[in-house]
Amino acid sequence: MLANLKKPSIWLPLLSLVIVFGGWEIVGRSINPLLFAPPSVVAAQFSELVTSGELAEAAQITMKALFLGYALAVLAGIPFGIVMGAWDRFGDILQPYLYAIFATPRVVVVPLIVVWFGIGFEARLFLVFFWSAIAISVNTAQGVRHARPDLVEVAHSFQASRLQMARHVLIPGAIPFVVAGLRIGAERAIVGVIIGEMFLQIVGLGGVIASGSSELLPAKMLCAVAVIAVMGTIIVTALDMLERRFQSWKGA
Amino acid sequence: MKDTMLETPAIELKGIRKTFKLSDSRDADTVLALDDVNLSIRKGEFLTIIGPSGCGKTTLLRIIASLEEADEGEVIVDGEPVTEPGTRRAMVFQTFGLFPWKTVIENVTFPLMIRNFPADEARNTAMRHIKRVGLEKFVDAYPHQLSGGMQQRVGLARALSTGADILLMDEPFGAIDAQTRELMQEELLRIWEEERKTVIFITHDLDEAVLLADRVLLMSRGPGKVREIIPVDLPHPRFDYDVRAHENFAKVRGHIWHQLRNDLVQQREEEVS
Repeated sequence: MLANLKKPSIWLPLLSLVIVFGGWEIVGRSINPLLFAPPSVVAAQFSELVTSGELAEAAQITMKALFLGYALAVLAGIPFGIVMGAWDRFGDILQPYLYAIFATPRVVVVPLIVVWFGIGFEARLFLVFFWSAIAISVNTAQGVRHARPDLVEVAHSFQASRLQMARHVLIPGAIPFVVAGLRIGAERAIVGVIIGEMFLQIVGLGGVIASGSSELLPAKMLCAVAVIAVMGTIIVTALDMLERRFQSWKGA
Repeated sequence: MKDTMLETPAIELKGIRKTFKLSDSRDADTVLALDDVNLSIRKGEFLTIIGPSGCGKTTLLRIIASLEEADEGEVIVDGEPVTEPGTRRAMVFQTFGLFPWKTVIENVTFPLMIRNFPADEARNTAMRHIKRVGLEKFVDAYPHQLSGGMQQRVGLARALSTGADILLMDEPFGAIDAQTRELMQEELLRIWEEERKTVIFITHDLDEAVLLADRVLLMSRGPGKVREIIPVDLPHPRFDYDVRAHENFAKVRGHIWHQLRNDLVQQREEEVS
């Protein structure tokens, strides 16, 4: 029940923010400005990036690849996962490759993607799509496979047809897993888009970080990092809430 | 007495035999779970089945429900052999078997919806039975918001609203705390006294077995067999008096316990040696 969730305290996080930002300001002022920037300088840089429109443009580029790639991943990943979960052999055949992909650091395929897609929008789109889709389909497959046998039996005892079984038992049972896959997929999509922007074509928010680094402007880098952090937190928190909403569907 | 002898039994079991493989491999060892179980249950009879764990009582019930197939033998419902689950039999599950994504009313209407009942008819039928088990305030609640006792009331309402005249109950109150269990035993008997459905009720609780039953079927283990069928001569309605204080209750209970105890002692000795 929702009422059972503990209400999060507001004061402790606030206090922690004050201490961290205060300490950062004090330390930041005493360090070479080419290496580090205190919050006051970051804030000034931020307003400059906002007024020049550079940040908005960068964010727009990032979001476009992120959302389009993620949407494609959802559209492809869920049906693929259903097939993988429903047809055991297919899942077994794919398993070693999926494990290998999961275990391999993402950046190692960046050179391959350059060969296949170049360094433009398509390459970034693929980067977002690929990891995200794998996470979504693996979780979906797990959900389809992990139908609760007791509930399958209940439906069977009341003479449910195969179609009714799928509609009333298998699909709802898989939904919590699918939603977990959506959250993990989103996390991976965000990492994918930033990697693409930092190592393929220097654009978007990842590009702002890369250029800030080469221009020795730490404040600029931190501005982009902050925007990415806020964006990522909003997306992941929203999906996390969705995931919790379906938590009770796993068991009574 | 003569009438009941002539009437077609609600359920007949003929030579039920069931073996289980101990693993998935083709030449795996097998254990005999049920050996030549024969039984005839009258219409409107309340039969409880008790026996040491591993005696195959749940397997027997699942075979009666056609959730599992016997290797040999027949299950005959109202004169017809059955191999698939049917509308005349409804199951109440030990772990309740409620769909966590469905509300109380949706869970109760589920079997009717499966059979394409018109929505309002299904709803009315379900509401009637939800009221009978006292859950009308929780119609739109989800199972995880209910206590175990309440969840099993939903399970009971669901089985009742199917209109089945045979209730198959697999340790339905086993996962419920002792005090709630007693209350539910009382409610179940009250409902049974109103409708006189045929009930087969598995339990591992000796008091419960005697308290509810017209006859207690005592099973023995290794392999599962009918050891004895003990009639329980206690007047109905049983909760109108202190049924546990009745001399027949003590007599039947003592008789069954004596045999169960022998089985358990023997089982222990086998395990030790």
